Amino acid sequence: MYSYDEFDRDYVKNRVAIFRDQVARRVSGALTEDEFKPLRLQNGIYLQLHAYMLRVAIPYGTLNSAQMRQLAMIAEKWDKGYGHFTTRQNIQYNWPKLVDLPDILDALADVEMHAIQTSGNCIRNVTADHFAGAAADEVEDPRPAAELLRQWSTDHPEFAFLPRKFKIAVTGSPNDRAVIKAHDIGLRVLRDDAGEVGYQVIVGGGLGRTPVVGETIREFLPKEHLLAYCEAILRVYNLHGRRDNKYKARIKILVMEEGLESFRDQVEAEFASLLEVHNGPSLIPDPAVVARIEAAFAPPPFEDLPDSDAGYEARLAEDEDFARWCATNLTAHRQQGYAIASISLKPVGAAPGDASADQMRVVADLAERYSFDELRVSHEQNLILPHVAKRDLPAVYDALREAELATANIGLIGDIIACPGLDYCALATARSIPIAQDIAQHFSDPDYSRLIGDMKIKISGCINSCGHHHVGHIGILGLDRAGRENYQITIGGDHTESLKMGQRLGRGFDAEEVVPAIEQLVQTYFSLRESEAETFLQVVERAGTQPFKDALYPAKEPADAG
Amino acid sequence: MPKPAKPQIASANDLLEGHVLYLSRDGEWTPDRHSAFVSSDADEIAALADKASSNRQVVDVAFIEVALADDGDPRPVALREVIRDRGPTIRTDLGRQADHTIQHGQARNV
Repeated sequence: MYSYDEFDRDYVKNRVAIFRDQVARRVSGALTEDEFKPLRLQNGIYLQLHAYMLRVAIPYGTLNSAQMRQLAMIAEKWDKGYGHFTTRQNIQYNWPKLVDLPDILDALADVEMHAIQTSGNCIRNVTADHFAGAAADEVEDPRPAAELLRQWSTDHPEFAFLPRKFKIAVTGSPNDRAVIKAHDIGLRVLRDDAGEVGYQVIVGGGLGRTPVVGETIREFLPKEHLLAYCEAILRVYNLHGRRDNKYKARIKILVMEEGLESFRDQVEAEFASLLEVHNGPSLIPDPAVVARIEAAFAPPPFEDLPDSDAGYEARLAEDEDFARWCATNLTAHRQQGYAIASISLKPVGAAPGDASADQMRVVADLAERYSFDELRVSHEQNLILPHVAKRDLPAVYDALREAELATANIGLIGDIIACPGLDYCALATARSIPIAQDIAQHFSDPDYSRLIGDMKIKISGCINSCGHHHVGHIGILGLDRAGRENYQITIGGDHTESLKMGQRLGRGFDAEEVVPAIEQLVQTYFSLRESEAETFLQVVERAGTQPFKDALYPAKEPADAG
Repeated sequence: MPKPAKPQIASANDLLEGHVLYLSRDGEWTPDRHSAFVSSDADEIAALADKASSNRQVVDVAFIEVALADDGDPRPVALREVIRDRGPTIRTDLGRQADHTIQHGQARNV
């Protein structure tokens, strides 16, 4: 894992000291709220419905046990004993006090973490495939690229006040688990015909009020040009992005208005200029720096293990619950004898993504003991033990079960993404979490949810789409309709490499109508599928949305003329 | 004919702790909504808010519509303000609703 160097440490500690002084001046009255607000936002501190909220960056979703324990300590000492893992692989605390925040940021700095650039119109925390470095289908670990981007984008003076926020995601696999086509810049590691590793560069994707599937601006970018090309994209965006209208200020609108070809021409011209005319060489990373970063993400010292393990196989045969958990929560590892274990933060009745301080410590202990001290946070609001030897899986499962963390629902209907919604968020128009809880409760029978199979339900409590509802197999958008919560349902969204936006089925539903509507969609799927292997999404793609519309909105009987 | 103005109260968040406060009839910021100053005249509330003695210690002042209960209790109308007043509906152990000196209904069914 990457460790801070002296520069990183000094920078983060200095930022805390500066913020401590800013808080003191705000409390004394030397700074007005108008002066202070942008300063706190630059440190990831929002004011939500009930209290301040601190958003902490977890770079590319990777952290170690010491960092997770520190997050637990912060939750317990300065918050309400829990944290909320988000769809951007961050963690949010919902109840910090302003006067405690400098101490919290200091505690984060002690474990090489911070909250810088988790708000504001800047380049936000770079996200990545949560199976990075472990996935069997990976071309190359995407995290060195993500770390390079983190270093380049942190406090980048030219990009501190962009027209709007800017999000970058990286995947190292052809199977996209980082939703790269819904980011301002999406990067996919790939090899060209000569076997050289580089990046497919995607630009202008996004969700929010104007959902757009990102388009490929460069089929293959040599590795060494990553920063220069991103700098060129950001420069064109910074110059021409719509600063006159907040709702048209994201890069996706610029790309749509200019057209991809025109935008590409401008970027390529800027790229050439950067390399040839200006200070281009400084944007080609020093090979020694790259080597240091890559070394930080070298594979851990895996044991040479057989593909399976007798104890693990025996437990599979005798323990149905364990077998069910393995069937849903394990993913193939690139190293023989190992598995990737996903820890669901979606037990029935819980708020998706929430973890208590005690649970964080349990996960930290398991990472330290069984996963080479590595943890990941997924954009699906779950935690990952990336490298578990199959022989250790029974012990890991038992410990997770003890901590109520062994829910076997990864990828099933209960594994719901939900934003905080109107229970916490000042921007929300409706609640998300109670809807997720009601759906999870209704489909809590594990046999029933397995019968339904692969299903991604994603819920947002407002048009800003933090819950990724556009790309849910079933998407739910909560709105305020004349003072009542109302939920629009979309189907057919796809968050993978074949990213698609879901289609809205019709009028919205009251909160209590949502679960029956989802059940109706499931029953329609059952009636249409040609085999148990045909997924909900495949049925929507084959049969279209009309059968589902017909099921949700049966035609009214014609009025009786007599 | 213009519609009659609806009753409002002023609300804000405490600068230091972030929790929800209301502007009282005495011109102080207080956690006690029941003692909030109610007026249908937004200018009147704004004038009181401007004069509030601890104004420097609050942020995000906003005027919210209320309905007066039979006992005169000013109850927020918008769901957003009801939740803000009580706390998360999915965690009744958190927020103002966890303060048992404040009377609230069933939070989940606001």
